[in-house]
Amino acid sequence: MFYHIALEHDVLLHPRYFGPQLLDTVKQKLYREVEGTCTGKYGFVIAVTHIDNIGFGLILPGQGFVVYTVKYKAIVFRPFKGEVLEAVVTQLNKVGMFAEIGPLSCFISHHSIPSELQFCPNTSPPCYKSKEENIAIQPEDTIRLKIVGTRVDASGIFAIGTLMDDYLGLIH
Amino acid sequence: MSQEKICVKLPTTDKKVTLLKWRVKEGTLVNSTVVVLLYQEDGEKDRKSFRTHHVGVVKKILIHEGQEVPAGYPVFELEPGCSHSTVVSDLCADCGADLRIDNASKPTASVSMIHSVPDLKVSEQSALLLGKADEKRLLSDKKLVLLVDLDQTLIHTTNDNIPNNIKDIHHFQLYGPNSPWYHTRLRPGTYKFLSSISELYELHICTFGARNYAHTITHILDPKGKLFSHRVLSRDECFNPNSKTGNLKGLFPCGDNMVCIIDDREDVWDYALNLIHVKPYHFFQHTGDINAPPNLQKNVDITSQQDNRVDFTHLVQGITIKKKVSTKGEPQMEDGEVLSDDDSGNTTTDNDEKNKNNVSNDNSDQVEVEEEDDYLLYLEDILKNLHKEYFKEYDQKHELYGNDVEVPDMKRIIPMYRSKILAGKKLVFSGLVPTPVPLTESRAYKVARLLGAEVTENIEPDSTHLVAVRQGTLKASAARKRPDIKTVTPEWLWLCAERWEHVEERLFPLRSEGGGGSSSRDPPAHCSSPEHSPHFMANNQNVPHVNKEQDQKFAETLNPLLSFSDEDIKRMAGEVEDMTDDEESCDDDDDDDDDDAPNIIDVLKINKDGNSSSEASLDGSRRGNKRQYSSSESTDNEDEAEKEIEGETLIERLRQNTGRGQKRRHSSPDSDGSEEDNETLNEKFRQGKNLDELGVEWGNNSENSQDQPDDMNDSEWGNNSENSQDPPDEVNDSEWNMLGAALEKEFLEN
Repeated sequence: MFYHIALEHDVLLHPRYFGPQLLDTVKQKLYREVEGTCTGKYGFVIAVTHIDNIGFGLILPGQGFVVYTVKYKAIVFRPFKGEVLEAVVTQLNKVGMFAEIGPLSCFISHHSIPSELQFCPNTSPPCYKSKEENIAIQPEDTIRLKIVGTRVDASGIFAIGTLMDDYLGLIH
Repeated sequence: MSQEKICVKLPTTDKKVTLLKWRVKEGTLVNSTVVVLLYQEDGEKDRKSFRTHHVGVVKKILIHEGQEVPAGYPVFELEPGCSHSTVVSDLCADCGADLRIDNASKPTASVSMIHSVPDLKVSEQSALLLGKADEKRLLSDKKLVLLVDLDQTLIHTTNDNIPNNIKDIHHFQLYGPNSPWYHTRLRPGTYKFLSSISELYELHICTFGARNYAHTITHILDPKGKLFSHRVLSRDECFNPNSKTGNLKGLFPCGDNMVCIIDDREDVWDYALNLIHVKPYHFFQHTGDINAPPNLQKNVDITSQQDNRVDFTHLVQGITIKKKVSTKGEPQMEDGEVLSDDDSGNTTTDNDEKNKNNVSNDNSDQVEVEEEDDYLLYLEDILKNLHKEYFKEYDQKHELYGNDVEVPDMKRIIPMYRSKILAGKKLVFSGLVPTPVPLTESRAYKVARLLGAEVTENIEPDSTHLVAVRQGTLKASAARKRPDIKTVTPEWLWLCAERWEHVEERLFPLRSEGGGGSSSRDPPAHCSSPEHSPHFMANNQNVPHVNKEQDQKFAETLNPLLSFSDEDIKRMAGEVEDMTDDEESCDDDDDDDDDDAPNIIDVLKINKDGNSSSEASLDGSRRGNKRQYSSSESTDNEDEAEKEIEGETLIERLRQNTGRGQKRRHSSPDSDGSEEDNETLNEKFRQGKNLDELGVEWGNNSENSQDQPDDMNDSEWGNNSENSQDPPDEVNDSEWNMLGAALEKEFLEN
């Protein structure tokens, strides 16, 4: 799920940036350091939308570096169990398939793929194909899946998905 | 997990319910997300789906489709709990449970089935199921599995500086802009080999290269992902750093009966029976397998050097430069000299500055290098035949016993096929096995036995072949009287082993006196396992100071033609003593570096001198000459020596030196500065001369060339050792080089 939340980040600035462009540098540095990262608590920081406040620069004694505490708003993506999402298939194998939901990678076990879809390793690229209808899930295809579990680490999130529910599967 | 079964009922309604369709089978795992069945309430039109709140496996279906279910009647039995048979990074992929928290249920998943994702594990039962399905599919497609090694089997990669204007070499960096460059050359015919063999085999890559590397190479080999798909097993996924066998069980849970392996190393597969030992592909000089397993590195060095020896002369002779434009020469000649003038900031060594002037700048001209390596053609035939044999047997069995037959085993079929190659032949070896080694222990014997031939100690009435190193032995003359015995050189045997076919004997006649040479006695790399140590050094006892085996091997690998015949050794023997005396004085007025490893140096010197003096001993005047030269060049050598720390390897160094020596004699000796000194062989290449011309030139230059021994041919090395006037320098150089190489290796490993 996406959230628009207020966050805080400390930007450490080298003294050589002290000058007329100082605040711009702080902003640039914030974008660079924050966007695309992942925290266990808030999920992936997708984009910084607004910088609310750049605090007073605090010079670190003995170093000359300056710390700015920046308060900003950002769009974050935090997957939850039970959430239904759209994903792009990256790799298929006999055990299941891997898909990516933006920055989040997700695995769907073959037990969680409807049994009418069978793995066909001989086609290239390999795919999950149904016998009667012509549904075939290949790499690069978009699927809708439901998240059944997430592994949240300090630095990343990994998800387990399923296709065993109504309206899940290949999106045409 | 011995919990009671749960009888699951449909949501209680008063009405009767018709069960329309089961969406699950017995044995399926269900959880709250899975629709178990569709049903219809009496009197209502819309279908309803049912799912259970429990997690578990459907044990028994009690009501069939279309049946009516009385209200409150159970429809199926459920065994609660998930066996967590598929696990990704400690998450159960079936029920989504976090197995790090949920300590109660121990995961059964232990088999890592997917090449590229070792984190993904399945339980043994599901692995067996999946493996069985794979096997069935392969059989119905009439395919086998082929595990393909990359380095030195299909490709050769180096980190050395390679000019970027050579055709068919792929250049890439793996770890960002400042990381080392990799230069990869595909074995000739690789694309054709892969595409035709992929019709008969399912291809998997099994390499000791890092994941990044393996995938990059895979992309080069197979840009569309048709051949290998995701079946790439790299070092990152290998369980054991020194063996590839460990992963086999996971990839093929039903056994490796249908698996065939091609690799240039037997040891990493524990000498598996279903391995086809490939002749190592060697293109770039002095680079072995850059991805050799760490603990086996030492052995690898030796083998790769051996490869060097085998391929060296072969390469030089076999290569023709197609366009003789004014560009750099071929990669064999110059590595240290010509640097790749890549725009993207190549790793620069000290040599670079020195050589910048030498590099001509026309990048547009691509130099095409042709090789004689046609091994893949033979390998393709071998694999095709094996495939034929396999399915011949399978079909026979299939007809007899029907569908449930046990599949034939490649581990039996491959040795069987191989033993048919020389079946019925009776070989006798002459001069091939050193006296102290029992016949049955010798490599040649083992190779011949693998090919199905019989080997006897002496000529017997039904002997068919005599494999002789030289003429004039008792056995050779006995064989001459017997028209039914074909006399061949050991190369015949090695070639049979390489191509897995009965090679025409007439191609390898035993030439008259001096032909063949002792070098053919050592099996080529593809016939010898890494720990195999060359035996001829056993003869070398008259060389003082040499005790260490390693040094001997090393010295031997330095120069492919350094191996001398027994006659040479005899002639040398008297000479050795005053040579060594002389050497000591040489050492003094030469560089001071060589004190570190006197052993090696002595070996080298002796080899060197022995080689050049095998026909006529060096007379004093020439020796004096030599000393003069070396002293006058000492300044050059010193800064040379510094450069060697950069990790260049010795053969190249040797070449440079000899090239320099050559040059010096060519022009007036050392009148020019260091730049002039750089003019080496490749310089001449750049000036548009081809090998033949150069060879001729050399022949003319070397005063002693007329009395070269036969077994030296007129390969470049023979000339070089002839021409080189300052062996002590080379010795220093190579010694430094060895250190440098060791350093580099250490560095790379880290």
